Amino acid sequence: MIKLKNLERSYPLAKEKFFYVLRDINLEVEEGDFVSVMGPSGAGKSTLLHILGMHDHGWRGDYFLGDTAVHHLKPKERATLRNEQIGFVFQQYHLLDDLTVYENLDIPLSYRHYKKSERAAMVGDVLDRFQIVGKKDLYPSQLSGGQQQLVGVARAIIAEPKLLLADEPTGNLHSSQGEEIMELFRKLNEQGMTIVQVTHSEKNASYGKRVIQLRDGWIVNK
Amino acid sequence: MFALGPALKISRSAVVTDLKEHAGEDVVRRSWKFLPRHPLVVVQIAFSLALITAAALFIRGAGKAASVDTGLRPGASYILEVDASLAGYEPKRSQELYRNLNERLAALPGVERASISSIVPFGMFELSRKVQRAGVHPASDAKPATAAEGLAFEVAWNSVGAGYFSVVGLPVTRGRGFTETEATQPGPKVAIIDEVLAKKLWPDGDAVGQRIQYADQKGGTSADLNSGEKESMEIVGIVPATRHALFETEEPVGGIYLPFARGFQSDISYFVRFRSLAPGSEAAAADLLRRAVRDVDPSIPIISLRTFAQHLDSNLDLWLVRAGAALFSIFGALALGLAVVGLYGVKAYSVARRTREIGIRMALGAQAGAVLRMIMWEGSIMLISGVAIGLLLAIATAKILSGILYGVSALDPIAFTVAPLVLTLAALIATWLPARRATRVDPVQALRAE
Repeated sequence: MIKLKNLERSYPLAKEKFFYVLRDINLEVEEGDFVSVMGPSGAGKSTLLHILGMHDHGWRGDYFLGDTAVHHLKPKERATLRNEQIGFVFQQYHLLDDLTVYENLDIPLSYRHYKKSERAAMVGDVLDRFQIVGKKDLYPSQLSGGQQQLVGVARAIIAEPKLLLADEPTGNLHSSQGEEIMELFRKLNEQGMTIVQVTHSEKNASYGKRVIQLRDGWIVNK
Repeated sequence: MFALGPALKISRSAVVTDLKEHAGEDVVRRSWKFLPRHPLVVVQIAFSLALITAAALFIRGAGKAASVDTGLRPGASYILEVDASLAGYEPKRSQELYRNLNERLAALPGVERASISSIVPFGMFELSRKVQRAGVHPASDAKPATAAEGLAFEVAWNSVGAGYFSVVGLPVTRGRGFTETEATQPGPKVAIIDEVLAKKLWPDGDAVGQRIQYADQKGGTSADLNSGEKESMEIVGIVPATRHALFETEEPVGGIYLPFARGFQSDISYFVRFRSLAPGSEAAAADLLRRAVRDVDPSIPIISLRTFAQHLDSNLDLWLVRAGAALFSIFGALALGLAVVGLYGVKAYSVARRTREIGIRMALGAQAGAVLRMIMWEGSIMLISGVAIGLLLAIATAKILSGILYGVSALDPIAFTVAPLVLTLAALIATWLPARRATRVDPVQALRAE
């Protein structure tokens, strides 16, 4: 599903020098895979995830998503592809504080040209599936961290993406809440969703099928 | 005082909720989310629109007043105002002096014609008299309904020289103008009236050859003005009606012209019509006229000397309209500037505080166009609300100002179209700049800024 060839990401420093965050990344992720990216802070894990999620465009190399050569796409075309195929879960949840749970779930759909009635049905389904119907009119600040991340995951998968990217999804949760989210990921993966997560936790990584270790921008194992 | 509102608001904050929300976020949590977020900016826009509309009404009025058709075609004329009485001249000597000066001015090189006039149209002073058909003597308590029964009409009065009508470009449409003798020497009592008065006095007949008389007994300086007697005057000519004041809104009232000799005034003006006045030659022409006066008698003070266009420009009514236009334009421009800066400031501040939100929205699928539309829509809600309230304020303001507007209705459609358009355009630009900045938010940077 994902194929990266010689991918690198750098930031310019003074006097035409560059600081490399990712170097010569070659990686393949099969459809239905559940990959955990691990490594110390500053290894480039989140950068890799944002490149996969097409939030970051300043990289070089080849990136294929399915049959599509992402490296040949313009930013607008990448955004369209991302909207069709990718969901993203953030460590900080990143729910919008002035919107209710319902409205937060509706946001990704509102940018994907669904009809209003279709959106209402899809939000209703997800609320049911995640058993948060009772919370739909609450604001994020009225939820616990675990509940907020549950909404964050629900929002990420509401448009039925093929690929779910999660950047330390349990980093701000206590262990039982973390387990709940990881169980949810396992179920989603069993239902066929490809998942790439960034984690520091060996335990969370064990929910996945394989682990990729990053050190100073290099992949040190696959 | 103004800090009290925000201070009270912040003192009521819920600590737990605030800690759970994100610092710097522009959070709005209300049931009526379609209402504008910043009501004070809405009020600012509304007041701006009222002032801009008032400015537009005044500018339109000033434009109309400046291009008003006076009915006169004086060409390249100067108006030279002198008063021989200020140099100690008696009326009889003054008449002689004025005749000499008229001849002198008319003979100057480049001068086509010159003529004396006791009243200058659109000047500071006007005189009027009540005129009726001669030979009628209605009782003092009678209320005649028609001119034939002795109905009198109050009309503008002027005494002029022989060539006055040709100098000011007013053709004698029936009969004749005054002769040089009539204009300079007391003789047969004759008058020229305008078409409006002729129509009023003889609605179905020819006024030329008919006789009229004053119905009132006003004082004045001439024999005619002083005469309490109802001596009749023969109408020898008819001229087109002209305006007598720039701000005449009703139909012209009518006018009567007497030969200058029968309507002497010591403070008089000469219309001196040049064949042409090349640009830059105005000063030389004015010097020529001053020298002519000095040559006749250096003690005669020149009260004013200006072209007819300058005379119109100095009209008090026109000045009032122009002053109103200038004043409201300044206020309107200031208000527009404040509203635009206010709107820009609010939107720029909002975009800066909402960088994280915009980053999240972009990470969740919003493309640049969607972000631009979101910010523009929020600005547009403020703008629409402000314009709606502002239009009501503008209508109220225009109604109050209607008494001093010239030539435009209080609800002038052009002013009420242009003013909102100008404000809307400026406000949209003020919103678009921060909105465009919002589209350049880098989602990765915005999400990492936490």
